[in-house]
Amino acid sequence: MGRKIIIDPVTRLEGHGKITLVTDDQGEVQEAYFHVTQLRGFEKFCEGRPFSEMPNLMARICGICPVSHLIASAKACDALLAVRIPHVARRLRQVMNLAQVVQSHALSFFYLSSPDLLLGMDSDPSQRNLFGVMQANPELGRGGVRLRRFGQQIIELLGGKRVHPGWVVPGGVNEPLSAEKRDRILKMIPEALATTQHAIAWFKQNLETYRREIRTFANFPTLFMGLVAPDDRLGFYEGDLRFTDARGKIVADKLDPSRYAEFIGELVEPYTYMKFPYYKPMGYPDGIYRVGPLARLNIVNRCGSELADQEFAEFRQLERGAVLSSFHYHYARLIEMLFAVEKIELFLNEPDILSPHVRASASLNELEGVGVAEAPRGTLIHHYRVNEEGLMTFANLIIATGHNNLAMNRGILQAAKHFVRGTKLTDGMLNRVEAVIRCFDPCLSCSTHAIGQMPLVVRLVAPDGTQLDEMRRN
Amino acid sequence: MARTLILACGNPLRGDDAVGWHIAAALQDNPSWPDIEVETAHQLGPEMAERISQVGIVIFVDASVTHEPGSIRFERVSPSRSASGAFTHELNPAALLALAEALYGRSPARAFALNVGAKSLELNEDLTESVRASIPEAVHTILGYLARQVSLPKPATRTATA
Repeated sequence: MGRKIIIDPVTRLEGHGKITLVTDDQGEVQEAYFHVTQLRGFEKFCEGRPFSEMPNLMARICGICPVSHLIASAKACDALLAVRIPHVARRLRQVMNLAQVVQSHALSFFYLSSPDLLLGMDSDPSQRNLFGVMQANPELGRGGVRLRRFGQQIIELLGGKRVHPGWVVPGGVNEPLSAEKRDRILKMIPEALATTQHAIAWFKQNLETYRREIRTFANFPTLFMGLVAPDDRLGFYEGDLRFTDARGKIVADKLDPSRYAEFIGELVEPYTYMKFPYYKPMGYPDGIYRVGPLARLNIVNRCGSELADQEFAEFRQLERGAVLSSFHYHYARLIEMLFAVEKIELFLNEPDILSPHVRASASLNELEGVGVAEAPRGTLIHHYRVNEEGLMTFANLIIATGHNNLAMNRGILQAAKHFVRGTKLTDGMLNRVEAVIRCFDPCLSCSTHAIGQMPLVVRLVAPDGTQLDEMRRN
Repeated sequence: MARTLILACGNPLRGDDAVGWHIAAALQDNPSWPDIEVETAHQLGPEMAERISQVGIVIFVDASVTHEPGSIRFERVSPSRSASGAFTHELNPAALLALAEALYGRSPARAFALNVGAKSLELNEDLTESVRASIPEAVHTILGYLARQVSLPKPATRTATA
């Protein structure tokens, strides 16, 4: 008899989701669905509000990556104003965005995923947390906490607060950087660099342990997409969009981000609130692509900073074409943290970084604007239309996690086919299915209050609705 | 660096959940106590463990949905790993104290939680009347406790404003 296995909620993610696995009569997993069970509605309830409110309003989408929404939204508003923002304002926005990359990646790697990586996928679930990491490798645990704090402190120093800073505004930023703040940030750089390098070394040493996961965690061919800065470098803040294929070949290049609708389609499936973007020329679902750390390192020729470039060269040796295994999102995340710390230092040492000219002023000049930036989890698109009074009439947001939706669903199916077998469920089995999603570090909502307090419930349900088995962990 | 840390958390956009922030503001406005560091946050996170490990007294201030609206509970908190569950980036006071011990080898000798019963957590920036009225007493409770720790006179006023 075929049956359904439901993992609800999936733990150690940003937001609330659940997984349904459908098996056939022999107990083999045939289908997998990742459901995002919350409806946010930001695109709708912003209608009628002044566009100038958007950066602050849209930042409320997320408590982990508000800076990304702030920046993409401000860039869309820059387009509505039709201004070119001052060079230093662009640099300061970049510093804040990179600081967010560090704090968000640190959270993903050290808090959410390192328990699996350090303690093992089959270890006691009650130990698979930061306390368990602390016991097994105190230096790694302490370093992770310090690194996240490093990113948070920079955001707080620049924006006045750790979460939802209002400092990034249409036209630039609303306050120049002071010498005192710059020096405080620069003083923290050496420790952040050392911590990141230590984590990379530890991860590389242990890669062999995860051979099975590397082979089975969403390692299929897809396209990869992201912003590429001039000279083929990582472009977190600016650049054009590029698609590459699984062999590492460029499929489409120098795509104007503001014309995203020409090459990205969006499809809605009935079982989830998250849309399914796809590369239009290849159709749905063949136009599956991935974004985020793994994709970014697959589409560029170098990072653009000394130490990160050394690690990048080694990373790209993992496979002959693009690095396909989504397990390596973790590896890519660590390299990006190194890049971010180095770039923050470089930017803050630029001679004009304390310039008071940080905001361009203009009134509404365009009725449509698109802002694109790389969020920690991938490419983030904000698209606005306004009326002559500057009131919002339309908003479309494509969030990083959405781009990865097709790949996450396919990755869950792949891992479930490999690890979930027979009639008896084990925690390690299901943890691996969840761990595939954690590789992508999806951000499903801005609600962070309940995570960690919710039980994991797995139910085996027969096609007639009869519950056959249940596992619960608190 | 101050030896006493007041850590108030809550969401200032969710009605009475912001009461900790109001109490924090009232404490910051109170000039009678020189050795307090007051911090506000949306929630407690592992990054706070280091600062907590450096102080002698920590008082966590928060709203509570399990207590009568406007009522005040002031209770000692002990480090507890079991309180952490499968936490990710959000902790309760007992787990945060345990994490400070695990990460930095110590937690404050005196740790307390001051909880104010909340009535409404709806989306707005106002406190309900009973919760707002409890702020002077909450401030008095904290300052009174701190005064006793160093044998200072109790605070003379109960009219601190948010």
